[in-house]
Amino acid sequence: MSAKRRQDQREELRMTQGKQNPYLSRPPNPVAQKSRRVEANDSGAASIETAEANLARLEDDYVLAIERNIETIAELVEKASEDGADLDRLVPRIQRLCVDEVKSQAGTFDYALASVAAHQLDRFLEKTPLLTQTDIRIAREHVAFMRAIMGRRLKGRGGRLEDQTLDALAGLIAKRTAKTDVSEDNPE
Amino acid sequence: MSSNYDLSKLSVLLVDDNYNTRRLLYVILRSLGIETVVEAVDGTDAFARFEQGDYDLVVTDQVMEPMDGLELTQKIRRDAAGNKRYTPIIMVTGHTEAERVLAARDAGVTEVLAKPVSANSILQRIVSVIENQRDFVDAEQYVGPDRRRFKLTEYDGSKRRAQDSVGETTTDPTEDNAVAD
Repeated sequence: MSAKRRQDQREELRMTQGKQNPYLSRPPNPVAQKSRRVEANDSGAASIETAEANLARLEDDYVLAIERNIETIAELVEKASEDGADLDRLVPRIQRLCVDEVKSQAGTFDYALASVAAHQLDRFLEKTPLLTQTDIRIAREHVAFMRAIMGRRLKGRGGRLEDQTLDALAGLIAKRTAKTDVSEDNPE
Repeated sequence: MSSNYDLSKLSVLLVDDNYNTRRLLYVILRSLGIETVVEAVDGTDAFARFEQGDYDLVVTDQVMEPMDGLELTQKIRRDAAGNKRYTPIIMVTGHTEAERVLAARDAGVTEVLAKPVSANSILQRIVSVIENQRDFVDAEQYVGPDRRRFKLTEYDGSKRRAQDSVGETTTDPTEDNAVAD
């Protein structure tokens, strides 16, 4: 049997199986049905510029909210540093504030460094939930960095100093998690 | 990918338990021209509204309580009436670890979008829903859009299925383009 004939037979089988496959269907797509293709300058065209302009009007409110949430994270970190702290309750709250408030919203308004720091802190807490004073220090450093970025209203990726600071924070985490990997039974 | 669409006629159900995030998404969706955006505060509220209303698209957060976005998606895929089961679902999530994204995919979402979002990223996902429709799988283990995003039309090897005939899986070693098993 030639290679072409084999390929034709496979294609025929594939089409037949597709048509008879009871598990597959192509249902209607209401988003496609109700959307209308238009020219770029059509007044009805979905406009990113309009959306960004409307978002810009909200920025001041959101920046204040982000700063308030960073302070709440700071308070929760200090509570977590106390003896007998309920870490099972505190750490998930800190993580949610990091992800839902700071990472998401700071990122939308291009405060990328604050967003990255919040993400990094969340990932760190996922692995190492504030059990030691080193963990608390790492969390405090992240909070301080977020506070500084938002306080300066620093958008984008910043400069060399900011890069070095983020690298230093990542280095603290790497060192701490390496210790955790090596000696799980000997917290500081 | 073209983004010149009039989206005004769409009706979207927006689900997020975080007021600030929901407000941002609402502003973006309305600013993109979508005239009907209904908000729900969690998965339970969302499914109740979904059953009562007529929505073309669901945009949902992943982590919520008491019902999260994964459970909402599975409920829509398995329990919603008629064609509502096929409603496209975009999951917006702050958690981008591989296992979370795979969980969203396996729950039956149509698209996943990582936070932080932008007007452009939301629009691109909606355009993807319009332009890249996939087959819908309805099986016991999985209900939702076909999870295979790429179809390798040139694939010439064995499908390794139990019902494959002997002739389907063997190759003639004398052929020039024989493929070793």
